[in-house]
Amino acid sequence: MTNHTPEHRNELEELVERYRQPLFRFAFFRLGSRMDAEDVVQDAFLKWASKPERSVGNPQAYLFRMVSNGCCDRHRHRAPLVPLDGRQPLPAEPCEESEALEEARRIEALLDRLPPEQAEAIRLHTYASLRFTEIAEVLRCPVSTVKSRFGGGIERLRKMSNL
Amino acid sequence: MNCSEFKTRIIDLLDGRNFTDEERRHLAQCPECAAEFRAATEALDLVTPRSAPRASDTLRDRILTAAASAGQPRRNRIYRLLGSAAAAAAIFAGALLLSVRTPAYAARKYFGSAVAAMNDLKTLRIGLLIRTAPHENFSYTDPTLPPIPHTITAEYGDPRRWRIEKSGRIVLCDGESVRMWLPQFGEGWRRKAEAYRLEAEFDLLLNLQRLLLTEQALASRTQGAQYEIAEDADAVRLTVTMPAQGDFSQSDYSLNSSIAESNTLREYRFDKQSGRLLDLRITAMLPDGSRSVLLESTGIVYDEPVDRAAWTAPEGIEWIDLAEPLSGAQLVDMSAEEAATRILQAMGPWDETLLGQALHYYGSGVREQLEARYGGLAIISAGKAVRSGEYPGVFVPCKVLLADGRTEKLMLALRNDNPEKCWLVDGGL
Repeated sequence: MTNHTPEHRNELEELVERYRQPLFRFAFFRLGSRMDAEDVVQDAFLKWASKPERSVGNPQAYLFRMVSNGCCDRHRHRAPLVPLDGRQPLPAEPCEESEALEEARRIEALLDRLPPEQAEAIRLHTYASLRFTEIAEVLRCPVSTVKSRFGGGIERLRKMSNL
Repeated sequence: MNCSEFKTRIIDLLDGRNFTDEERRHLAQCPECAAEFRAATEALDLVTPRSAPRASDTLRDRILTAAASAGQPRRNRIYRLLGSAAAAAAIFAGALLLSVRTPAYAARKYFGSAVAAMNDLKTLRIGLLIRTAPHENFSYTDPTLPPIPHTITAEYGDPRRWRIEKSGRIVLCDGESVRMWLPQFGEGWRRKAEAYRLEAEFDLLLNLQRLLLTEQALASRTQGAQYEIAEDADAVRLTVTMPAQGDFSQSDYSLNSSIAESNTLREYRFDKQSGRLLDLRITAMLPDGSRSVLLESTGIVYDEPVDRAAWTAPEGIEWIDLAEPLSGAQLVDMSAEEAATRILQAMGPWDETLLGQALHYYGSGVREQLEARYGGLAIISAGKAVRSGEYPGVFVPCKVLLADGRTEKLMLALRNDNPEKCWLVDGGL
């Protein structure tokens, strides 16, 4: 970043201003942790900042893709937290977020039962409020594929919930 | 519209597309399709969050701070600097920590709390002991030197004013200009405040929020960093073990020459009640396994009035105005090695025309001392210029024969990051 122009830095500031909250919301519900969500969002912006200027055609799609990938990685490598000997217990999440965390756990428990590609299409819609055309850009697939995954996921959820 | 056509459009309607009149009519007339649409909507509702958590207020600054410093390459050099047995131990310890996850995010939480606790600071005064030399740049540290008292004072009004002081060097920002002077020589320089960038460590110490934000950002991106948190009744102690920052691939000359360029153990103690920083200590971990406390706070005072005299420079100082452009820049369009050679050659007959420019950062008193020491020298060799650590210029290793017959090795620090791209001596003499 230090080698980039003021325009590049200004663009980063604008992107952070515009997308940090929707990206955080997506990552928060995906991971069920404020700290992890903020880490993943920060990493996504740093990856964008490390790219050559004007090399990312669609920053929104790129950032959501990086956050989506980051969440998958964290989920895959997530292990039970074991306090190290002689160290203090890890701090708890703020209590005012317990409702949102409970909601995240409930929703993720449902989506975990779907095929991953269907679940991710639904997450991008419900967590991040992205339209199908935008989701297609994030997932780098045709809009028809997004619709098919989304529809398949909704159909499974209906059956699972007897709707 | 028939039922089959409507059902194919349900997905589009869930995406937020508005109903057409035809779709609305069909929905009103067909209970089967209405039930189908309602079930799909309810399924979607099941996985749509109602709550709207927001990212913390510090996330924006954390990202921008991390991005601003992300140009530094990530390097895990710590095991190269240690002996082989220590390296094996370090790698083994690293593997253990990775397998159970270091509490870096827990450390970030405490740094974040402290940032918030210092939101409305009016003034700050920090007493410090730092291992350095009295006249050297403020960022320079040497683990073998005795500690020297420093005082940092800041007033966070409009304009922001600050002062950093040790026995041989004072730098003062009165909001409009920055002045640095060497009291013993009675000389110094001045420039506009917006054109001045303070050495990284002191820039951070002047603004403890940024210091803590930087630590937060480092906790996210630095390989090899480790964190420990301990609490007692009144305070939380956070210990950070951080590898040296900077690129030492060409030369490790700058290694251990500043805090950032050292492998360090950084200890912060926060007041449990107010969340504010109580004290800090930075210890260098040296290649031979020994440790040296580079910096230690002797007192941190918040929000006490600052004496107006602190914002005034003394009378009788000879000021060099760094805002004035270099006239007839001579050391341009050449390599650093060539510039070093020409500067040293000019020291033989002490060519004031060239040296007056090359030693632009030095006042007449210091130049007189340099002439007394280096006047009449002969150049023996000027080696290849190297970059090291976080220094923005280059270092040129040179060997000279002094007028009294002795030889001396120099590491000439040159930089040309000025509008004229002219090489200037920045240190090493």
